[in-house]
Amino acid sequence: MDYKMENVTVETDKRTVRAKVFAEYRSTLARNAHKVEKGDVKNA
Amino acid sequence: MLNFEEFQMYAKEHIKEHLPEQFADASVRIQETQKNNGMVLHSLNVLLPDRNISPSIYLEGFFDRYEEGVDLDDVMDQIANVSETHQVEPQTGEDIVTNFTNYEFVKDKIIMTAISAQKNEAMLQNIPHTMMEDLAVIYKVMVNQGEDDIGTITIRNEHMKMWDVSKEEIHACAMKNSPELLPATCKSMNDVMREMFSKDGMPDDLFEMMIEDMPVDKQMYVISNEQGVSGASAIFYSDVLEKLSETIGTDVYILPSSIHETIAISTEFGEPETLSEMVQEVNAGQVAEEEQLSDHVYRYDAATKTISLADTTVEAIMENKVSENNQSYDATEQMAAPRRHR
Repeated sequence: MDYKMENVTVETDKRTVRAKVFAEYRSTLARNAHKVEKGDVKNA
Repeated sequence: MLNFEEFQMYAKEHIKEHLPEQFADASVRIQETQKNNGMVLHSLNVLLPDRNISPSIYLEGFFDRYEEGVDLDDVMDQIANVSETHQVEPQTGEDIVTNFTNYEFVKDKIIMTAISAQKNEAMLQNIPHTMMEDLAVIYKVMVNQGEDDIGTITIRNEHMKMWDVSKEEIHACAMKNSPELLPATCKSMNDVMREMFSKDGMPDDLFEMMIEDMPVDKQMYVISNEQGVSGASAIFYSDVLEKLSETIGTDVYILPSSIHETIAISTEFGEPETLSEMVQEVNAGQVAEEEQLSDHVYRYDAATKTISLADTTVEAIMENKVSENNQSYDATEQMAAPRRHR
């Protein structure tokens, strides 16, 4: 809950669900790493 | 059916009919609040006569319910209920106001948060910030801290004037306080996923069967703070990336997964351009607009202990922006052209 005062706003930031984002990065990065190992992608 | 403007006015004019007698003399306001990445929310604030602080009831979600078919009176009851239950004691408001004006009190509570400079251009004109490549580090005073949330007040230019302190001093306080008040966490992605699945009731041995064991240099690392809130700025703590690069034995690419955390990997994981495409895709498909940090990838150079953009430069981002602005100007001109012939 945020609160308003005369010259300031107290903002409350809550932890959000990150599972989908992490799962997406995990699977895409794993695929990418596999391509790097196979030599499909040039290493940096 | 009311549109959102009318809904706000209706809520302002009729909220007291849904509140108890003690709110009869309260003042009611509709206020705009600027959120991250240019998002603006509209709140209803019901301020009791003996208070100087009122809960902000954001009306966007309630309007959605109304549009979905919930009876307007029921929606008003819900708004009134939230407003009533979140009123705070007069002393709490007094304490925050008194303490906030006292720099000696707030200086130990100043923390930093990383946001997109490009998407917050308008807001940044009014708040002190330090540019770190295409990111802006802004400063907040922490007023409360829960297990998975933090309450803060964003420091604005007028607050700096009130305290008579420089941005450099505020930055120094934030660099010192942030690691103490919001300690960094750097966990392997597997450990983070294990914790998440475990909270959902999955047995550890089942999770172990699902994941493969990886060497340290092939792991992905999630860098945040213990709260998991606004934790992307943890990459600017002095030793987090230094320790990680020592562990994996290479420089580190940092993927800005959100304002809450970043994902770090070895620079042997792939090319920054490919990683940047991945970040853009995940941002577009999975990350709420107000939680997005950047579409670009950063490199931590262990030798120089510096972070810099890996897939582009600040200059290139600025050039793109100018070019986009010109294109939209041209488009407007083209759209306007036929009108002149009417």
